[in-house]
Amino acid sequence: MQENVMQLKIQDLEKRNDKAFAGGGADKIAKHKQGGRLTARERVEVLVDPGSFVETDRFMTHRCTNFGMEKNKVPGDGIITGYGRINGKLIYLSSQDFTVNGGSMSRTQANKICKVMDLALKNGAPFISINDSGGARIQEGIESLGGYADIFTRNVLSSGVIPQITAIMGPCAGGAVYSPSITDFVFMVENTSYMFVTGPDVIKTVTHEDVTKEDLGGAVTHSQKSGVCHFTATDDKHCLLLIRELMNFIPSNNLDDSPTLGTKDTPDRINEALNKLIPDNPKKPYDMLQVISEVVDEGYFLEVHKNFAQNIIVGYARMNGRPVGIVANQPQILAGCLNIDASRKAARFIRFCDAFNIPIVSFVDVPGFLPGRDQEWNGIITHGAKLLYAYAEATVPKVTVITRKAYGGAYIVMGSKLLRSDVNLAYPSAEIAVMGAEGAVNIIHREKIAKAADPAAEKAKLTAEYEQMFSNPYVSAELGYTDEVIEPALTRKRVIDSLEMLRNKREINPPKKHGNIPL
Amino acid sequence: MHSHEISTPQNAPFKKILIANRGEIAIRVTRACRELGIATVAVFSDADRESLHVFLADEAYHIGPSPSKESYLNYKKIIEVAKKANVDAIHPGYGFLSENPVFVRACKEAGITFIGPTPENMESMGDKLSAKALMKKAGVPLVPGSDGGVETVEEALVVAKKIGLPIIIKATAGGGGKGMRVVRHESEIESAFRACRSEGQNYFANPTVYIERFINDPKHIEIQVFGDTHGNVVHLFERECSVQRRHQKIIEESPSPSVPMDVKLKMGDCAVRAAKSIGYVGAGTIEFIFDNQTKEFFFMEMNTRLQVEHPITELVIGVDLVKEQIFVAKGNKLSFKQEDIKQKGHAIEARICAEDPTTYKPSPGLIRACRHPQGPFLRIDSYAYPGYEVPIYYDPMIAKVITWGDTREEAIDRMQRALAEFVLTGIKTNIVLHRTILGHEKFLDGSYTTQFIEKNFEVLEPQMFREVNDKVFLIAAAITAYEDRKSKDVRRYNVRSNWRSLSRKIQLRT
Amino acid sequence: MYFEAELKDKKYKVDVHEERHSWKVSLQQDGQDWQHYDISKTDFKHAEEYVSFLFDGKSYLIDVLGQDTEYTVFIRNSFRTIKIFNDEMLLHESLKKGGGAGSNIELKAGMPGKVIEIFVKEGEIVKAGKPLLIMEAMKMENEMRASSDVKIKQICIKQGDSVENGAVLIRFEKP
Repeated sequence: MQENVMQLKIQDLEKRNDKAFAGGGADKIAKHKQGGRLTARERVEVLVDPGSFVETDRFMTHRCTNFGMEKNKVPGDGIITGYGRINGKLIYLSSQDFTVNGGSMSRTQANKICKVMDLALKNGAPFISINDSGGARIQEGIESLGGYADIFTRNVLSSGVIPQITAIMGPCAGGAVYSPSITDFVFMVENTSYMFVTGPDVIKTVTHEDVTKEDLGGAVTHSQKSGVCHFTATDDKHCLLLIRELMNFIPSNNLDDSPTLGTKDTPDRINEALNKLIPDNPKKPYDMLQVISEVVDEGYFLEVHKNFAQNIIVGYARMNGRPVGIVANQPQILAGCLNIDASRKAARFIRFCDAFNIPIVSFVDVPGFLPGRDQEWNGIITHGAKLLYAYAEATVPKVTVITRKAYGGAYIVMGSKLLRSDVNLAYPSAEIAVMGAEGAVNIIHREKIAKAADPAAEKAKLTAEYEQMFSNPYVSAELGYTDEVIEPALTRKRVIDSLEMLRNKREINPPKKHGNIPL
Repeated sequence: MHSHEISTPQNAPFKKILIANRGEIAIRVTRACRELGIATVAVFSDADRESLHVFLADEAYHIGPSPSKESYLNYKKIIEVAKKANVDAIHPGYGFLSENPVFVRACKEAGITFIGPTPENMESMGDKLSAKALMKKAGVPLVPGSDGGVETVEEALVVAKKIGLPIIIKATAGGGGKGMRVVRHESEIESAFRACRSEGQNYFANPTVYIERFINDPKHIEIQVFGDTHGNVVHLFERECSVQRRHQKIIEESPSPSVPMDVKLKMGDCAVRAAKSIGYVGAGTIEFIFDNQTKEFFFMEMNTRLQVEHPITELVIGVDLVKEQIFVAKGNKLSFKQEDIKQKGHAIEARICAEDPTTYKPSPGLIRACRHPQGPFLRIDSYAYPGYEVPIYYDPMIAKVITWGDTREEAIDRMQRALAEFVLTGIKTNIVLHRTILGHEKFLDGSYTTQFIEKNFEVLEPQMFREVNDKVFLIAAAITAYEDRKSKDVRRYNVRSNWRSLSRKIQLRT
Repeated sequence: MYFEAELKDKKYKVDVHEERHSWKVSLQQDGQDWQHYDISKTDFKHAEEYVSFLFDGKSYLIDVLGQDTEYTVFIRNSFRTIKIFNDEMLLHESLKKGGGAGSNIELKAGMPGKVIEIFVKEGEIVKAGKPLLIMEAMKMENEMRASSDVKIKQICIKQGDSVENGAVLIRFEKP
């Protein structure tokens, strides 16, 4: 008899589960799936290792009674929360279900999210949020706003303790945008997701501007113009698999390392191609990505912020099996100059690496900061200082390779020895100088050139002399600002040697509440 | 044959020999030298630093970049190294400089003995036309033909009558199947003659044609000869090398299953006569085209060197040809007389090449597994080893498997067994092609001709390539792919978490 | 773990499950029934780099080369090149190649060798079957031809270059 009762109870449980699994109902799900989108549950299944997902709070519902909401209850209240594994690594997650009340943020949703965020913070494991929500649940009034605030608070407290990742897979507007922007990485799906503080309708009323949602805050906009988005994906599946790729590089928390993976690449592989890559003419660009993929394990480089401020490259790779963060100037874009966007992009990346114990390898070919009224008015001074601050503050191993130009302030900023970088290597083609030869000659020899019979010839002669004296890595090597001048073919070997040597590096900044980075 | 005493450096014919070659033949020569107590010097190009012949020699010198032209064919450099290493003789192996009279003369000038024929020997056989003229004088049969261009149909008819049908009409400048006609009936001669002339004119701007006897079932039969500096020449019977693709031999055997005893003795006599007519010294090979229908044979050319397939003769006759070369070069008389030479049993050689057996494309690269066959009556001349990267610059042959049997059948069975035992992975090899050929009825009954491969294997994948079911390959790939993906799972690495240990330390402090 | 596989022009679905003592492998060739194999781990034994595989009463020594999505399997001196992949592996591979965005069709060297001659120029539109370049390996010249009508986007090598197996020689785009 007792078995029978249990049987019935189990059947009841299954029924309740089915109701939760049904989400907003078959019609809404069918509509949602148009255009190749996945449901909230399918997203979770793609994201984590098969069979590893465990759901929490499947039956939680909202408690709102305004506007007849008490009749509109779905178990789970439009969000799936729980934990699972990505390649074996524990993660906590939430996934909003747009088919239930448009995925709107209720007090209950926020409570569910906070519960897993608290668990993530206690257990030192990453938190991944999949957002697909129309915004606050208006019916609940400011109670729903309180939910947002609780999440923001946890985002802030978790920042730098555990990695936080957001995938925007639908709308994300108003207050909802601030949680993603605090998290370390924002992923967006092209054409189906958008983020903005105020939507096109409000903009139309206030400023009379006509703008589409996609143009205002789509994946392309945020990955190219604002830099809000770090990774774009062509569809939901692509997006979730990209998160899995990223997770392979980053550790679970700020005390642990991401595990060393075996590699078929050898640490002393010679980079013969690099001996030919740097053009003889310093004015000729080359692709710094080629340098990176030549040097890293198996040529695998996961670029972050690929479409934003392309004059600087940031991303992850492995060196002899261990993850590293790579920062590199891209001579192909804006000659590799630093500007506001590049400084912001690299500074945030470096701070993430520093917070999570990922060594930083920099490849430098930088002629300076980008000149211009636009840059100055928008505060290149403040923003450039962020990059300087981030490099100087970082205590993780820092290895810098100067491939060609390293001039002036930009040289100091880009992971130079002068800012506590541990190892500075330079190619024989490096020009580590206070500025480019021509500019320097114009200043030093202004009078001499003006007085010369043939000023152009005199200038050319003086420029050549200056180049001979200063446009090389040896002045800095004599000063100890450069540790070693290396044959480019030895880059991989030397960088790995340096990183191995720095494995147990211990460097402690003075105790403080926090620094005052020029924000 | 040799009256053997134990070889020591004191009684060795030379003190030190440089081997101007690479791969398996360099190793073959090194072995003979070592048995005779002679020190060996290997030479190697950039690509061959890790080649086995370098490891096995007593001394080794770098002679230049990988392309043969800049290393193994650079005779000045080789002589320079020979002088530096203070050798008293050079063995050229086969290929490379082995038939280069300029090199032989340079050796002589440098006071170094060249182990091989005289430069005059090479020159008289180097040019095919003059070689044929010489052979005609010595009474060696040539393929009956028109002796030069045929200008008119009438003339063609006369020639055809003289040499007998079938004939082949060829444009002098022709090639690639163009300007060529086989004629089996007299009535076809006129139209074939005109067609060849016009094709010759159209394709090669030369209408001249010549006529030769057409050989129905051609086989490649060659006779091994050996001469010394005292005017003795002996033949060591025949080898059959008809399993060929694009004139590259693949399988050789000795004796030939097709040549009757009386014919092979006649061939031997002819070969000796040919060699004697030019005062031949050392190991050489006279190649004949053999008509398997009429059992006639005709001179084709003479190779004035040791052949790749020399081991099958060694196994059947019981003579070490390389050692004999060394003694003859020293000035000794041949250690055997014609009446000593008898064929015993049967030997087969399979040339293992780094090539795709389905496309015949070369497949250089890194050898992973390499386990050579072992066991009775088996000889392996190979330079493959696990971890060796077969370079792109040289011949794709990496090993020779040679088996001996009391009968031809036993030798074939033994070869099948040996090849089934051979494990070679990482690069693609023609082992399955060999196994398929060895099981082919035309090979088994000995009736195969030089067109055997073209007719039976050119387009078809060798049957043995399908020996193992695809699903076995798939299962192996699937499990490997699974394991590769699993290797990313962090739980495999058992990393200790600082997170937990640090929080415990902090808790204990407060 | 689910994969799709291609062997020559045949397509397969493949499912692999690891259990404590055995591998469960299921294969389905296009349009045919699933076949299930239960393979004891002692029958699929790693010995150094090779695998001794006892299967269907036969003993095979197997060597598997390659990584990511392409493996070459050697058994009894025969070999098969098998593409095996799932969505995650395809993404990983495309990221490894540096983004994989857009329709990059490439001509790759099928073996290490030397580029002897290049017949095409960047920007040129080439008809299927037209020779693109000649590569030399082991004293043999191999002509490589266009497999479909393409436009030459980039020529990544020069005459006389020595290239590794798998190196990209020419990049194409749609004409």
